[in-house]
Amino acid sequence: MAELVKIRGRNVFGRLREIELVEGGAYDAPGSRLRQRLVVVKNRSYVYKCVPRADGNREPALYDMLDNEVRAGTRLGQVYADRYPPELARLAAYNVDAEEPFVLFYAYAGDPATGLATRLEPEHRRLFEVGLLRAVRLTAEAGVIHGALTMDALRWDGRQVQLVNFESARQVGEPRRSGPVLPSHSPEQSSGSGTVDKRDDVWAACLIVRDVAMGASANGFRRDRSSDPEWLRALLDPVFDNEVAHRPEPADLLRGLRSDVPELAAGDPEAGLTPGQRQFDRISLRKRRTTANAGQEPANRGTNPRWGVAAMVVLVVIAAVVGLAVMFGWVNL
Amino acid sequence: MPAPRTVRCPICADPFAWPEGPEILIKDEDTGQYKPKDISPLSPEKQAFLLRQGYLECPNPSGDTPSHLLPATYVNYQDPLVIGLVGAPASGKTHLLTAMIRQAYRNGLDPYDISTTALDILRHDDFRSRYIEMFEKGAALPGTTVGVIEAADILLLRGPTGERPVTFFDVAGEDLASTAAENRSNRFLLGANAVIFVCEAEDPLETKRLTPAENKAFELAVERLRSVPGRVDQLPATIAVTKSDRLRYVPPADRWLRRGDERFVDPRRVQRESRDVFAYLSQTGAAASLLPFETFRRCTLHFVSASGGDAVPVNGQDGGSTGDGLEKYFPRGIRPTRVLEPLVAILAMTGVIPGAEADRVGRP
Repeated sequence: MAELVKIRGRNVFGRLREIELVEGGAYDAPGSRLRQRLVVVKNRSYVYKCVPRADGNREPALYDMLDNEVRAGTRLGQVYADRYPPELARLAAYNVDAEEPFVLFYAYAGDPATGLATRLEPEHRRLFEVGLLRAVRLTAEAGVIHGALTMDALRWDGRQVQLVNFESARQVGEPRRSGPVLPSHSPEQSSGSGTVDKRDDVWAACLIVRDVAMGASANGFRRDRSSDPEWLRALLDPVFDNEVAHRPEPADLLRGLRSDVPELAAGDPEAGLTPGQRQFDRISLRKRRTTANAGQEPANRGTNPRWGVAAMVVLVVIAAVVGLAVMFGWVNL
Repeated sequence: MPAPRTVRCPICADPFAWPEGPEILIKDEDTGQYKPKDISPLSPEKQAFLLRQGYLECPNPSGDTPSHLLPATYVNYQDPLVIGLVGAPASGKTHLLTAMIRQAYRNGLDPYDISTTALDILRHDDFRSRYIEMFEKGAALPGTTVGVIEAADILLLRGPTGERPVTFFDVAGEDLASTAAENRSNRFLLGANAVIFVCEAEDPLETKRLTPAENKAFELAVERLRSVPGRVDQLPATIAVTKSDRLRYVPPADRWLRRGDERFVDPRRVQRESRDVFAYLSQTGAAASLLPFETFRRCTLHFVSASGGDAVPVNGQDGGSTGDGLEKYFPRGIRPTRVLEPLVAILAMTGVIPGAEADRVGRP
């Protein structure tokens, strides 16, 4: 019987818990640089990804990849909480302070989509494309960019797509990295310039959409779309012919595929802070009033620079008027 | 002849007239004893050299504290700044102070044109060997010894407004929570002119409590400071949420920790962080830890991480130990984050960092 191992891990809200797991066997999902294996917790399978010390010593960047994975997984878990979408791998626990830092995901759905573009039946292609764009929309709306979106990062169970492996993930608004350039990267990602945009994954997603749509006739020359069907060019030209700021969003592409675009069940992870922030404001206001009543404030307070500037402007104007008056003899000194 | 300068001893909190005589105490390295030495026959250069390593015994006019020494140059600079750390047992005061002093020594205050050196050289050597070196090796530090009333370290900050001694007090949480009226370990509060209140981002699995308990150390310290008229209106205070690395993926702590150390004083940014920390503590039910903010007129709040991560038991289990007594350690070394922010806020609120922007820090 497999040995029960106790570990400590945090959930997506940072709460530390004790987890009892048994080994579930080797696991070799493509697209991951982190070491992975299956484990079983309470009869349920999980994907365990970790950085053993020897791996980390050899390649310290693995710690960053784990950090990216945890950061993306916690963010998605906080935003979608108990209405978590099946299109995204779901983080169950993590511990980045352990001797062997790890992240635990609920078992991925389906099988790796690697090589699937040329094998998908025509009736499944649209389903796959829509599922992919939904996954990209879900991450983008949560402020997460996958950053390495290829078929290796996708799973397919015959009905649904699931996006996994967030080892290169970034958050919207951060500076883009000037790291390794992937063939799936947009020009902006390749140059590593500017800040991460919520449409950064759209480029890679549309490369996949095209591969899937073209199936066995995909020519591999991804930018040569001269023989693409008209509907595909109409869908993808706005993506490939525009800078990121003018690229369509995943929701626009879903509409282009005649798919419905349902409201997202995204929550605000910081909503619970609002009462405390209001209380802070109330206490600050009370302190200001108390200070003003006691006449304490001016004692050690520097002058507000805006009033200083205003006073300086008034003085300069007065000096100029007096100067002109003297110069033109309007007044006698 | 000018009147001798009156100083308040940071250790016994007694005010006394600083003696101007030619005699100082010098430590004999062989015996470890302090011996008096008359430095008046020496050249001015040699006097200055010995003064930097010499001490004077505090007369402790109240006669209520064991013999204690102060650096002989303690009064040669601007009014000393005495900073006390207040927090419950195991709240992370010692780790924060160690990381803070270490960062200050590593030129962490350079962006504010402030350099750091030891004023009390022997005390700093002791602090370095007992805490900083262990910490740098990745060891989790032991808690502060109960009953210790000595200053942890006395530094000299040189900045745009001159040279200012800064004394840090790190008293055991057990002493801070003591209701004994005669507990001498709390005496430093009388002489403190700034306080860092330290509370941890609690793990219920560790504390065995679902919500944070009352914060007796904070409550008693606040009441003791309140007992001195006008104190809470004048005394700058900060609240540092230690072990914030536990929240490194949780808003709002995540966005502050990812910023790393700041490079300039911005009162609006400090207020935004304070508001976020307040909201976090309020959300987690740690209302008792918010008492200083409600009480002190100038108070800032900060997320800090002294070590960058949780310590894990040696040999993978609690109670394990290596030969050198190490029980817990940080497997990936230490990565202090934002540990200087509470100190920078205090330096701004006490005028050590000058300017209109600094003067607005912590004001409501």
